[in-house]
Amino acid sequence: MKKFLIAVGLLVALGLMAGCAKEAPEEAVDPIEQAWTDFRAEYGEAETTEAKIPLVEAFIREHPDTDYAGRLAGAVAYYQGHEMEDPEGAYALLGETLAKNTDPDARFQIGMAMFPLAMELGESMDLGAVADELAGARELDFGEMIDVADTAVAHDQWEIGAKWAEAAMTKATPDAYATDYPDDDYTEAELVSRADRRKGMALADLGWALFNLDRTEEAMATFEQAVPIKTVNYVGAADTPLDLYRGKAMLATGDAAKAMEILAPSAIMGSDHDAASAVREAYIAAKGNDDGFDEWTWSERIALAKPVDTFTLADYEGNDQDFSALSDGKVTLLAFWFPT
Amino acid sequence: MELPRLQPLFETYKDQGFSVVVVDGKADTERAVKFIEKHGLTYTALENGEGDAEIAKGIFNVRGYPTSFLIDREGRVMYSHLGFEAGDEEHIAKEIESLL
Repeated sequence: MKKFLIAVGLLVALGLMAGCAKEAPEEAVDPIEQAWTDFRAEYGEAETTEAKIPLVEAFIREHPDTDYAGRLAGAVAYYQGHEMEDPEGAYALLGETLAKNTDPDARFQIGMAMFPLAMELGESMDLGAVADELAGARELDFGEMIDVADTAVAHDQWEIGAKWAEAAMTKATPDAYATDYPDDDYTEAELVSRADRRKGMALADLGWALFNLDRTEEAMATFEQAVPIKTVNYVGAADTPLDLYRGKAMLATGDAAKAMEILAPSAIMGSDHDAASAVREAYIAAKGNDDGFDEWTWSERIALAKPVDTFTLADYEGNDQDFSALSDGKVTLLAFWFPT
Repeated sequence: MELPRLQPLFETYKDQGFSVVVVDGKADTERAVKFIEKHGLTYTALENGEGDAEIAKGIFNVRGYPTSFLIDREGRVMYSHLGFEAGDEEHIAKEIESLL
C-alpha cells in the first residue's frame, strides 16, 4: 500500500512536470491552456499541501471535462485523500469530476485514483470496469497495465490482478520495450534488463493473485521465475513486492523458516511495513512466540549490513566532496532525491 | 519528495554526531539549488555523477526516489528507506537513535 502511494506521488510529480514542459503557444491562447498555465504557476509557488489542495480543487471543478482533470486526479487522491486524511472529500470530488468527464484517458486516471479511496471508505467500485473502459478505446500501455494489476492485488481483487498482470507480461519483452521507446537507442543488454524489470513487477503481482485464487503450484512456479531477475538495493531490500508476496505465500503454506529468510531483507534493511509485520508473524510461527524477536532482528541486521562504498561528488559550489570524509565517525543519512 | 522533512531531524541530532548528505539523483542543478535555498536546507547537498560515475544507480542500485540509507559510525549501511511521507520522520528518528 505504501509503495503504491509513493508511486502515485511520483506520478503526480511527473504529470505536473510534463505540463510544465509545454511551450506557450504563440497564437491566440486557448482559455483552458491559459487556465492550466496559470494553475501551474500558482501551484509551483504553493509551499504546503494545505496551500496546494484548494488550487487543485478549484481547477478541477472549473474544468472537469479536460485531460488536465485526469492528470490532477492523482494529486487529489494523494494530497487531499492521503496526506490531509480527507478520503471522503477526495472521493466526492473525483466522483463529480468523473461524471462530467468524457475523455477516455482522463476517465481512466480518475477511476484509478478513486478506487483505493472507494475501498478505504467501504464504497463498492469495479476496478475491472475502469480498465475495460479504457481498453475499449485503446490498448493500455505497460505502465497502465501494471498500475491496474498492482492496485488490484493490493485490494484483494485477485482475478482482475491476474488478468492485468498477464497482460503486462506480454509487454515485458525486449521487443515490446523497444517498440514503446522508438526514439531511444538502447543496447540489446539494456533492453533485456528493462524487459526483465517489467517482468519482475508483473510476475510478483501474478504470483500473489494466483496464490490467492488457490492456484498454489502455478503461483509458486511464477514466483520462482521472478527470483533470478529480482533487483535489490545496496542492502538487499527488494524494490518490487516479490519478497513480501513470496514470503507470505511460504508462511501460509507452513514454511515459516523459509518465509523469515525471504522477508528479512525487506523487513529489516528496508522500510516495508507489511514485510515487517509478516516477518514477525513468521518468527512467531517458527518459534511459538515472539521471545527473542528483537535480538534476532538485530543479528540479522548486522549480518545483512554492508560497508558503505565511498564516492566523490561535487557540491553546488563545484567543490569535490568525499563521502567518507563527510560521514567519518558519524551516523549519516544518505538520501537520493530529485527536485520537483 | 518532502526533502525539508530531513531538516528538523538534522537539527535535532547533529550535535550528537549525526550528519545528512543528499544527492540529487536526476542532476537537475537549477531546480535543486532553487529548492534548497527556498526551504533553507543546511545539510550537505551534492550533485549526482553521470554515466559510469553515476552514484545513485551505479553503487546503491536506487530504483525509486526518494531512497535513503542510514550508515552507522563504523561505516556500515544498516537500513534503507523508500519514500519520505508525513509520519516517516518518527520511524527514521527511532532508527537514528538506535545507532547514535
